[in-house]
Amino acid sequence: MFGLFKKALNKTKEALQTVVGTEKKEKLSKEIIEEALLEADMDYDLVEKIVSKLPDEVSKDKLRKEILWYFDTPNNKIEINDKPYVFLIIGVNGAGKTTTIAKLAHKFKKEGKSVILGAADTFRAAAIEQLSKWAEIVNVPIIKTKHGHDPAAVTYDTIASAKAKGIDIALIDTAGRLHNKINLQNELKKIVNVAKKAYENAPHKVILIIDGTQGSSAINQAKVFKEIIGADGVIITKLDGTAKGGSVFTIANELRLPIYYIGVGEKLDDLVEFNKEEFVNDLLEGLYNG
Amino acid sequence: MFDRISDGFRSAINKIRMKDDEKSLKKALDELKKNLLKADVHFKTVKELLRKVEIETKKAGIGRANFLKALEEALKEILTAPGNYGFVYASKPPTVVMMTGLQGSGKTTTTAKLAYYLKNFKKKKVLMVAADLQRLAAVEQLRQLAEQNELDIFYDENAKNAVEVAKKGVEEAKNKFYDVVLIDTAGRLAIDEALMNELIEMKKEVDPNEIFYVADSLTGKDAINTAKAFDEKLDITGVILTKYDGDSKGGVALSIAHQVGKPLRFIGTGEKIADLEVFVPDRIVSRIMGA
Ligand SMILES: Nc1nc2c(ncn2[C@@H]2O[C@H](COP(=O)(O)OP(=O)(O)OP(=O)(O)O)[C@@H](O)[C@H]2O)c(=O)[nH]1
Ligand SMILES: Nc1nc2c(ncn2[C@@H]2O[C@H](COP(=O)(O)OP(=O)(O)OP(=O)(O)O)[C@@H](O)[C@H]2O)c(=O)[nH]1
Ligand SMILES: [K+]
Ligand SMILES: [Mg+2]
Ligand SMILES: [Mg+2]
Repeated sequence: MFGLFKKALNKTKEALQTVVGTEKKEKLSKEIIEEALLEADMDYDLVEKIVSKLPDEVSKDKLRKEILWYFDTPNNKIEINDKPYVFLIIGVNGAGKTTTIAKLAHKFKKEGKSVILGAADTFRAAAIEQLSKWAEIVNVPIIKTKHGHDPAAVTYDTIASAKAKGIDIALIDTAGRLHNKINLQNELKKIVNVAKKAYENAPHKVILIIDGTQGSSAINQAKVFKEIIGADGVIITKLDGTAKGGSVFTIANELRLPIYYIGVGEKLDDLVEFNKEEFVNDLLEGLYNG
Repeated sequence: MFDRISDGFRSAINKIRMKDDEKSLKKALDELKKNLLKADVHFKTVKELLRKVEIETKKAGIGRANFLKALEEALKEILTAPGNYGFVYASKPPTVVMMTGLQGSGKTTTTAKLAYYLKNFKKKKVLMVAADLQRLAAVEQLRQLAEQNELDIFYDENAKNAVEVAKKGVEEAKNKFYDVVLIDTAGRLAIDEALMNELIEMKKEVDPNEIFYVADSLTGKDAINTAKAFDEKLDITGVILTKYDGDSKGGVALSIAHQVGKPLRFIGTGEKIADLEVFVPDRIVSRIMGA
């Protein structure tokens, strides 16, 4: 049955089934595959490339091979090889940054690492309180100031504190910002520069949180964020709520950034390490129903 | 806000002279189609718009003026769905509004924006109700927005569930003679049955005059699908599009009323409290055509 990515692909599977039906199949015609992949929001050009290589009747194994061939993602293993290891979490408004930080903190703690959070979203109402409550639940320390204070200063203090206390990992939350707002993007640059002052290797990973329901707009966002401050990789959230599972391929293909994790719900454990083979397998199960 | 669409209209209009033939009309319609699709207008809406423009232009005689007039009329029709426009008050106050939508779409921010707009521009007495007991610090977020902007809020930290808070909030509004009650709710997916049932239950208990579906315009065409899913379960009375300041091509705002069958009521254009625009089809049409 459906594996690791069941929750992420639930709605996508439904969308696929509107095209292919719900019975088990050995082979699918290439026209049906084309339609189904488009229905799942895989990018048109990518679908055409894949389909052009297919015979008229396609087995699951053949399709798996072709999709994987085009699904060329960079290595997404994060090796914690410094102390402190600093993550800066960025993205557009409401994408899931703060929640994802809580999930990451929870995960690292379970692995026996010490974690500190930095509440550098000093802008949005109660953003600090939201992260503080998560810190309490996950039981990790947090560095914060007052609403409206300098986010770069909080970033500095978080990293300095991690250094002083010998903490393994620092996770820094930032305010949501749209990619087309220059002043907000400049503020991010400043946060990165100040992080380097606190510790020359920081931030080790700038992670862009992408809202999986945003499809093609997410790609424009990511391109801008990548250009301006050089995001190292992405986490795609809210895949539990969208039939756009195919957009994961487009994001991978267009951005050439590693997909570290995907978010599949609002709870602490709703974060899954991304694995492209398994993801493709689960998608194909939805397509062939077996 | 609708620059792309205005530009698209202009280049279509330029394809047709004061008096012209069917070939030019076809060229103009093709140009219109291309530009609307590029601006992310839903293809069914585009088809309908083109159909109307073609019929009306031919009826009145092919030429630029008639084409323009047909376009203006068709656009108005596309943007209009049965229901209220702007903010409409119940005959007997308070007017009760439920704010609903997916996670992170902008419900809480928009609740405060609406309260601010009604209080400061319409001189109404407005109560916001914090009925999101799910997301961490959601009540605190609305509380801070109330404090920063001198708005009234009802919250109950001891309440067991969101429906109870909503009920108590509406009671409070009645007792204290408020004109409007805006109920903020937790984000949820339409496929989450338990949470959708909570909203259905809330609807039963507070008997709202309006149920707004707050959609993130960055989700593009998906906003239409998710709005439909909420509409099926809740029978919404209007849509609010947020984050329109994020390089939106304009298409969702043009297609959503036509595709969902419910009017677009407001548009959020930024993170600040005043960043909210009332969506009135007539005015938007003049703006698009006049630009
Ligand atoms: N269904 C689902 N909801 C999620 C997921 N991740 C986050 N959310 C929800 O999305 C909403 C926004 O999440 P936040 O973590 O506050 O997002 P943010 O990017 O920090 O938002 P801002 O700080 O306002 O820009 C919340 O209601 C979360 O519970 C996910 O993977 N699936
Ligand atoms: N740029 C921009 N940001 C907006 C707009 N409306 C809301 N936001 C931002 O979007 C993010 C999410 O807004 P919220 O109001 O918390 O969304 P919500 O729907 O209440 O979220 P949940 O309660 O977690 O489901 C916040 O960072 C807001 O500041 C808008 O029109 N433009
Ligand atoms: K969103
Ligand atoms: Mg946040
Ligand atoms: Mg909210």
